[in-house]
Amino acid sequence: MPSNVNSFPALDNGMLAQLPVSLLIDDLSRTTRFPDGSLLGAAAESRLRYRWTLRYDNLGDAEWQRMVAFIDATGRGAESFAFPDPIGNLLAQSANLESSPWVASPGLVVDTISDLDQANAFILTNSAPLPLTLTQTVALDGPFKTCFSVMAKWAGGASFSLSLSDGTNSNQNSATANEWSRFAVVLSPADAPSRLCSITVPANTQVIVASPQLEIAAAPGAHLATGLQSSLFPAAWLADQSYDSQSNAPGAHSITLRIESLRNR
Amino acid sequence: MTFPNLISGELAQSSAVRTQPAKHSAALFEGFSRQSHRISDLDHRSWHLNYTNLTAEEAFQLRNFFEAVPVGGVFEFTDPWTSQLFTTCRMASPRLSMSCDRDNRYSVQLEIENAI
Repeated sequence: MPSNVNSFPALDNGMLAQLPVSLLIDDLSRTTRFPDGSLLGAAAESRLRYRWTLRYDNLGDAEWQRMVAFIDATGRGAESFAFPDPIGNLLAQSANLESSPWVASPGLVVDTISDLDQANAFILTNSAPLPLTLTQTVALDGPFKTCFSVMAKWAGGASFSLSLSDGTNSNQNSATANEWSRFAVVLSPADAPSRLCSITVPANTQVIVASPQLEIAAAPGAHLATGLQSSLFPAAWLADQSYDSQSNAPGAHSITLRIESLRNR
Repeated sequence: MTFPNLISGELAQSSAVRTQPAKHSAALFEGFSRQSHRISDLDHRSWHLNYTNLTAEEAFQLRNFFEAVPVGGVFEFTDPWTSQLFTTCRMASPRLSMSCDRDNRYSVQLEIENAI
């Protein structure tokens, strides 16, 4: 069991969901349509509702019990919980490394750089005689397998490293960037309340990076650009206050969950 | 804002549906006579865009675009049938539907219209 029963349970393989996953995004802004077809909207109430449908098949007994315990712990929809979008990027500001919540070590300079092949690229300059880091902490609570990845390049090659830590365990991948390519580091499942993603630039080195992403996955997927809000939804709940469960055979359970969350646009 | 292209450079797939509703009201009477009057003669049209077998990048581009369009916001869209540019389009439906299958292929559905 996870240390926090209100954290969304992980499967035995450290994943959050099985594919397929479906997502509906509804614009809840109040709008009025006139007979001629024109539309009037209330911009002050610009909210989006996200609704995921997660279908789990062939769950083992332990996985199924974790799911049911979680659903019970949340009062079958009465209580909210943090929910990481299974097809999203859990980092905020993935297109702006100069802004919070990115934290650069004193001495590490982060500048935008225009690049024909990659939008929102940044050059990290370390003129100091020691390695410096650019980090972001994500409040991802639960024993998920996570993958932190970033696009990087440097003509002639530049070494740098990516690391991913949950406070207890960490993993690091040192790499040499040449042409644009995606580098990744994967951290095995461990029950932890957060993940720390770091890009380390060695002493007296520069490297160009873009499109960082943290996802619950065993390998990097396509990049989803994020702004102030990441794909980690701090308050989600079971939609319809119900879920569907079926046991087809001993040790082979199925559950369908519908999860909702709201956020401002 | 400009509606995003697919990797192929196209805006839509062949499953897209274009609708041009007639803006008039009609009444049928006994004897099969019919009376109608036009409400508007503006060129209102909408496109129901149904994408399948998208890569994650293509699907995320559409999702990001849908999330980024503000209430009442308009964007450019080129009619895939006529190549006519409509500079003031908007979301006709407040919903984007997206799914990822077992092979990591995405499908996305959304509907847009030209603002009149």
